[in-house]
Amino acid sequence: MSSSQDAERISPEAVAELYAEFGDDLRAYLTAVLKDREQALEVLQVVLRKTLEQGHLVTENLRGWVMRVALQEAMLLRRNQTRERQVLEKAAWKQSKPSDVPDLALSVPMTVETVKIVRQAISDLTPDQQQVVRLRIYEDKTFAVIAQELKLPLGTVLSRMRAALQKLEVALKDYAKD
Amino acid sequence: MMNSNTDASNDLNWLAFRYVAGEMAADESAAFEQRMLNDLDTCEAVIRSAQLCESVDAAFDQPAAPVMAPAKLAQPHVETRPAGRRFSVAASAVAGALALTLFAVTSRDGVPSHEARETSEIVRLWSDSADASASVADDADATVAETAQAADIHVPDWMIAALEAKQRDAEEDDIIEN
Repeated sequence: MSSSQDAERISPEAVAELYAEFGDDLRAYLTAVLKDREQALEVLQVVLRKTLEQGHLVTENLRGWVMRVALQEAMLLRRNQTRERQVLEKAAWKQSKPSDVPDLALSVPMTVETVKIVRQAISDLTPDQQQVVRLRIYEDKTFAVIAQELKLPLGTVLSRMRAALQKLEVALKDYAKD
Repeated sequence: MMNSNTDASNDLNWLAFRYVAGEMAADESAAFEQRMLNDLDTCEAVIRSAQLCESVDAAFDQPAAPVMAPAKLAQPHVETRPAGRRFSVAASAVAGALALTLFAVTSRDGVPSHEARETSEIVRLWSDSADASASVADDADATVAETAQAADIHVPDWMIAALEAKQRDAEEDDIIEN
């Protein structure tokens, strides 16, 4: 690459600023897509490197571009892993099945304030809604299992969860505005 | 118009939650990821949903105890006060023993010599500094290193060497005088 092109590149400082601005969002996003925190961090490194190399060529919204690159890289990693797994399975290797349970462990440090707000918002939910939220998010049970355990129609469980999520989202949005 | 926007937003948030929670079938999940590739709002909804799940998880995870800030979480729990007291007691004991030794060595005729006063001063200073260190440890927020240091009390080699030298000098003086 020529020196004039280098001069146009996004500086490492600018990438660092970009990371400071929405690095946490990007990590949460990649963790949601990959369901694996370690892999999310791995892909995050690749995304930052690509931003450094190609960010200066981006004409659209940089955040949108970074999100798209992140998703593409995550999907690529997943495809490669699937291919690798298939090869290994064909070779009759004993391969442990990757967990179907999403890893929703903390990827972003929670602030004291955020947790307080969410706890307050949870306590404002109806007991039925609180129960479903706890079972689904904290205990990581599927809706089907929850419906079975509570002896409720699946639709009822989904409605309760959906109503609870709307309330929680509003509480967090209000907090973010303040 | 407002209602339809809110409904659309709620629908998107619900889809995002189902994606993050792993409640989508494989083909639905793949279609949603295609949508994410072309729509920044969908990516943002996934980020919000992932962060909401993390917050709820944290809120349930720490229901009773006060939530600590990340910086505090990184520090291991250390019982600083008892260690500080132990240090103070040990330091006083060592200083007392040194003072008795000093008295036996240098004050045989009942009048402390110049060397005795000098050595006494060293012991007093060391004792004072030990007390000061102990009070710092008592004042909480002592680091792990400080606590480890406090738990491992020993008489410094230089102190023993200084006392031995003084003792030798005093004995030589006695011999010369006699």
